[in-house]
Amino acid sequence: MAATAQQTVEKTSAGAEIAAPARGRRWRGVTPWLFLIAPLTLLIVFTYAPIANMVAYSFTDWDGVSPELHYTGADNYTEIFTREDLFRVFFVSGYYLAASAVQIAAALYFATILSFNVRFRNFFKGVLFFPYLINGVAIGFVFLYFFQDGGTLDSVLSLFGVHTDHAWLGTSTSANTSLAGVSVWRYLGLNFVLFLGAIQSIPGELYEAAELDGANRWHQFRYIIAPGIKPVLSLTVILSISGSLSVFEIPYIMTGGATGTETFVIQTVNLAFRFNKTGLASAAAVVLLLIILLVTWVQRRMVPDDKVDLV
Amino acid sequence: MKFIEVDDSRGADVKQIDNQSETGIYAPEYRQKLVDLARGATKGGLDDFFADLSERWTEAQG
Repeated sequence: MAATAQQTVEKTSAGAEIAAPARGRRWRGVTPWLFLIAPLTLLIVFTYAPIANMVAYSFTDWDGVSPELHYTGADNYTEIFTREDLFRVFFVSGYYLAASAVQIAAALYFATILSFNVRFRNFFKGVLFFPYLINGVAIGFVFLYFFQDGGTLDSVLSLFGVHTDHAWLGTSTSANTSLAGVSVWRYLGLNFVLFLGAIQSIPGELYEAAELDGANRWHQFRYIIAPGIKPVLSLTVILSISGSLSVFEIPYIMTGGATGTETFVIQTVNLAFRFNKTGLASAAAVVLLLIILLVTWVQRRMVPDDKVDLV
Repeated sequence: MKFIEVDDSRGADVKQIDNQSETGIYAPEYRQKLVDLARGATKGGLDDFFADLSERWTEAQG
């Protein structure tokens, strides 16, 4: 009896010894998921659920307020793809695309220059990044005064003896170019900081070695900096394209879509909140999302993200 | 001067046709487009503009 008791005690203690690591292992497996619960819940509740909702609305004729909505199948999508006036606004994105090319080139230029030892380097970094910190609505108002007749731009030009007598936001071409210029001014800082960070992560010995080999600044840029920042460059291109297709704040505040500055997003907002066509507007938003995903996919296929190995 | 009483008994219908045809008779965009047309910032004539409006309005009515 005593022996069996002894045995059971031994058995249970041995069992406990085996169980403890097993439980520990199980806990170790669960722990990452426990940590992930909070971010995943936030992500699903505030990102994916609304998108799923929007996709669901895009198949209905919901007006945004009514408690009743009817399933209309793909009618909204047919309407979007058959009404050419809904697609014509994408031409406006062309101005912003062209502006992003200028923007990337300028950002790359400034980032390269300011990555070398230049006087007042930090001051210039601050100056270039500052516009990105300003609120978009404030930028809209600032540049409304800037482009006004006799406003800042005209006064500055007249200091140099140039009198244009030209309403900057007056014609479609001029207005779109001006607005695209504002958006370059606004987002240059972001691109600049991304490029600067990428350039500064290139080890400094490479420049030294290149200099010993007799490379000048252009060679350093061409063979060290350019390949070194390729992943960031392709990211910036994706961001610029998707940004150009979905411009909203600046034209909405400055012209309200008049003078041919209406973009796809302004049009979508008008459909949803002016004409109560929330279903159609949701479909438009889904189409925009798909176009951006398609462009990103094509771009990734054309420029695959190779591992960069400088050394 | 003579005041005309506006009869709003069918206001809901007007609102619905207005939304359906995307005319926006009380919206700023309607005037914006007219002004842009008048000063030549957008191409096209006034008659075409109104013809397009009435076409959409009639379609929404039906």
